[in-house]
Amino acid sequence: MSTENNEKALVNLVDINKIFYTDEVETQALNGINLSINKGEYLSISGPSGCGKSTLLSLLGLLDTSSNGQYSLAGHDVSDLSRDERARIRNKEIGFVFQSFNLISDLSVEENVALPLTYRGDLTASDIQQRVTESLEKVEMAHRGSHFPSQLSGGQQQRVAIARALAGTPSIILADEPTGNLDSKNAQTVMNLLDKLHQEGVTICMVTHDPASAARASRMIEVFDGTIVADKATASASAIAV
Amino acid sequence: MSFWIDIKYAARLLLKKPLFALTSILIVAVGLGLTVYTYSMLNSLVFKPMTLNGDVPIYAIEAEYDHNHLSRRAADPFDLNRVKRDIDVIDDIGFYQDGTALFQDIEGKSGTVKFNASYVSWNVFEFSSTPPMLGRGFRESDQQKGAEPVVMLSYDIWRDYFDANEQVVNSLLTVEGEKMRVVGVMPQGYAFPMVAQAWLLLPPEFLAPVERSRLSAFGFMKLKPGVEFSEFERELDRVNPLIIQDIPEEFIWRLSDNGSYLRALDYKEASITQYYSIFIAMFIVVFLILILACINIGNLLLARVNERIKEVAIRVALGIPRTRLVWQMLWESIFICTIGGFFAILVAGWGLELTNMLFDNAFAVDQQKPFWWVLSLDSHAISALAMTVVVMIFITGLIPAWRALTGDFNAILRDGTRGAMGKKAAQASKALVVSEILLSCVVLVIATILLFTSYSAANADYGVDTENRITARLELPILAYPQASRDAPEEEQRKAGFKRSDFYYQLKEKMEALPNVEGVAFMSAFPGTGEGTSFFEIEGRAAQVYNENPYSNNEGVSRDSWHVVGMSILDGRSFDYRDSEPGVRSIIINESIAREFFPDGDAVGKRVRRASSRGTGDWNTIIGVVSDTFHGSAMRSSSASYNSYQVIDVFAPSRISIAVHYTGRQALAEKALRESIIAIDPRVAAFHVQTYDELIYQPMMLVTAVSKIFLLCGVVAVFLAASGIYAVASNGVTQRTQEIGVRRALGATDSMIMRLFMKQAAIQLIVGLAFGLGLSLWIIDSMTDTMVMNELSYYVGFIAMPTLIIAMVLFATFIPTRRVVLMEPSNALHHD
Repeated sequence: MSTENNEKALVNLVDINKIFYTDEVETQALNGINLSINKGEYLSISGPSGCGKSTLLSLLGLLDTSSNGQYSLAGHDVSDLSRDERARIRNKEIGFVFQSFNLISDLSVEENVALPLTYRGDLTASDIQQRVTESLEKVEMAHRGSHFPSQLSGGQQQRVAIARALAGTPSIILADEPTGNLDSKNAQTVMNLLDKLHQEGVTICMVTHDPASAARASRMIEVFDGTIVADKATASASAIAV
Repeated sequence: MSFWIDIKYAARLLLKKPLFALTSILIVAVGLGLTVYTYSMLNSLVFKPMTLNGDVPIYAIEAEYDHNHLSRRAADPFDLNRVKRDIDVIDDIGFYQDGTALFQDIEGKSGTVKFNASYVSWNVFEFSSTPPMLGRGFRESDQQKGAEPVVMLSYDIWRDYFDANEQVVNSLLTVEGEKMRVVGVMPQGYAFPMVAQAWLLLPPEFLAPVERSRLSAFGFMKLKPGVEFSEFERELDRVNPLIIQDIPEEFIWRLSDNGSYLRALDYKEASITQYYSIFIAMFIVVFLILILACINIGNLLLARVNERIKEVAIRVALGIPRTRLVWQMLWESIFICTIGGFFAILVAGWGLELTNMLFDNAFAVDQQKPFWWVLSLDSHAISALAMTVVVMIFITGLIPAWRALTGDFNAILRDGTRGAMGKKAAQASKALVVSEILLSCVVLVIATILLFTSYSAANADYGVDTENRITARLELPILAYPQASRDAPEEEQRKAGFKRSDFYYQLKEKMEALPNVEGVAFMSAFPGTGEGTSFFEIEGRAAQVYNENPYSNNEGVSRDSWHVVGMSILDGRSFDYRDSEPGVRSIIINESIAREFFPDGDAVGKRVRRASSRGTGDWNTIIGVVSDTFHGSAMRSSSASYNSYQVIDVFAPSRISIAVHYTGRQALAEKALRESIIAIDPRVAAFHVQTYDELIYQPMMLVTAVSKIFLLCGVVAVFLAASGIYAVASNGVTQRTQEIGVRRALGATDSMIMRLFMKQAAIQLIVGLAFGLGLSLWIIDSMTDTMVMNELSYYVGFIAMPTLIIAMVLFATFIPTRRVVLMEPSNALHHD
């Protein structure tokens, strides 16, 4: 799906390139990416290892900067922001779900979920607590609020990570192989949760190499050698449309 | 076979990172070297019991230590004999007094020579299981009344003054004005009980005293085989009160201020009672440095394991047994600690060699170095080193081994990253930083305070001019210048005193007539020396209890002496002939006493007298106020800034200090002194000839030497602390790289991350410094019994050093955190 004319898109990437330099070797990780994601979309990005899908997700999440090209998020150009401005946008507009959960082991479940909210500075403690509780309830982990990550199973940790991503009510959730470290049962639970969030109107962009997971998204993008080679709606999208 | 593979692998890893290997080995060598050096030194000086040629420890028995004057006190031989009689576990006991002896008419030598002489009981050589090299030892009959006086020579005296002539044995020498027969020569290096260059026998009264007397001696003793010292101590605790009970009123002065009397302790410890706490502090500091070194090495190896954690995870996945994994982690430690241990021997050996030279220089003038103060790396030190190396291997190897055993290898292998730092690893990292802060704090604070104190003492204003001044001790032969007994009529005492002071004034007059001599002064002890204080009572203002009176140091001084050392009379007059009239007792006080106790400027004319537990002395009229001086080392708690002086004319001592203010060359002034003495009376000995600056430096020599070791400890501590804190903090931050990535992904700004880490560092600082400063304070406090810490040194120690540590920790946190923060979050998240 071409996006150059889609000014209402939540995410809009125009001719994005990413080149890595290691010693004398130049690696073109992304090559002329054009992509837009509309509000409420459930997008999957797939492709073989090393194709650049995780790099693309990093750029989408403002975790890295592109070598050139233009990126706008929620109507704002975020291509050339300062580090702190990028941090603020990550905090307010983006929620992350990582393959390895990336919960902070020193913090309890509630503290982990509250973490992005504490970086805002404009929320009261009771607001934070309320949002944390709501988020944990959404992922059915409210009863484990005082536990530490090491006391949880992998699936539970990932649900807490999703709660953390939701707590800040972001514009988009970026999930990098969210089921990659989980067994099939837990993976199914997490995918059901993402489906549910999508149905509630949450915009999700998920990197996965699992065709079954990719098929659950409403739109599927395939990346190969740093280029988008396919961008299509899935059967789920049709089902939803129906 | 598998072990051999692991050894080769560990060696290859070390060779692959030569900087790491060299740094680790250097830290071990310095930390361990310093420990072995200190262990060897303290072992030789303090801890290793003295056994001489036997295998039974020797103990000292004497009166309780005099804390007012920081000096040992001898006991009544009557009481020592009672201890010997009443306590069955004593195997052998002997007595001695350390002093000097004047040798005259040595063939080929002009004038009188003073040697360190030990006046001993006849059994001293048998007690120490050391027969003479030439001649015979003392016999009991030599100490009997009417026996021919005999003397034993040390090897050095025999070699240096008698040209190693064997004929000297059985010859007659004039010692202390008396003909004595040389009975033998002791072997080289023998100087028991302490610093003897010659041995003379104690008078017959010491042999078997039947009643109390004013005689005093120190005791040395051995216990029966198999008897523990604690058993003897219990016996002494039983006998001591009985002896105290029997002491009549006239001998109550034998007791210490708190009413106790005899003490027994390790022979070496007795000789350094005033320095014991300093040595203990030094041992603690060096021990802490060793722990610091261990933590540093452990941390370096921990960082290595973190670098290799994926490799470890693969090994675990391949089924490596836990014991072999631990051994793999240990091999690197074994290499580092063993090689470091080898270099530590060289470091320690070099340090001991330097210290021996330092001791030789320090005691070159007075030859007062105890004979056991010869440092070497003995088998005990090597064994201690080997044991410490093994302990270090385990401590430094088990830290990374623990990390290797407790890692979440499944997670590491699954996502190729380390995952967020585990809770235990995070706690361990924090504990390491806190330990580094605590240990560095203690070492740096103590080292700084001692250093500053000794530096300040060396540069203190003692209230005197020392430039172009030489000083010496003079000793008058007792037979030619006899001391009248205390019970003798006052006229007889005055006559004897005048005879001695006549010599001093003749010498003063003769020397002051010389063109290169500006002035000559005599004092019992010049400012900068002569520590010790006594209480004095001001007429009409006596305290209820004697020890609530003020206290001062009191010295004897010759007439017309103040200007010689740069002192001056500020009020009243100086001493003159009127002060030697019968019944006249005059005293001059210093400015500090006048200012504090006579603030209205009305000191002159008032009367003061000595006060002690034994009663009060005669009233002395204040005739003048002299400028302030400081007697004793500024480092010692027994030193005094309140000083009073009495003229020496009437009660001149046999031993006195002389100061000569000269112009031109120092050597000519020394020559003039010796020639003038010979011209007046060649039997008088001048010794310890040195500059005034050297005289002031003398009492601080040991502490200064120890301070230099503390300086070394301080430098090592700064090096270890700086590198260790940086390494630990850096390693901690590196391990949290992924966490930083997560936080940044969740929207934390750079400053938020920096604040978080700096805040955590601040908490670690508060905890580490709180315990560190508390421990430092406790150690310093335990040293203030014998030392006066310079006030400024407290500021430097307790403010500057923590500030330095705060700066080091914040810097060590800021730099690596900044480095990680500046990474793109995506890189931080996937940091490996």
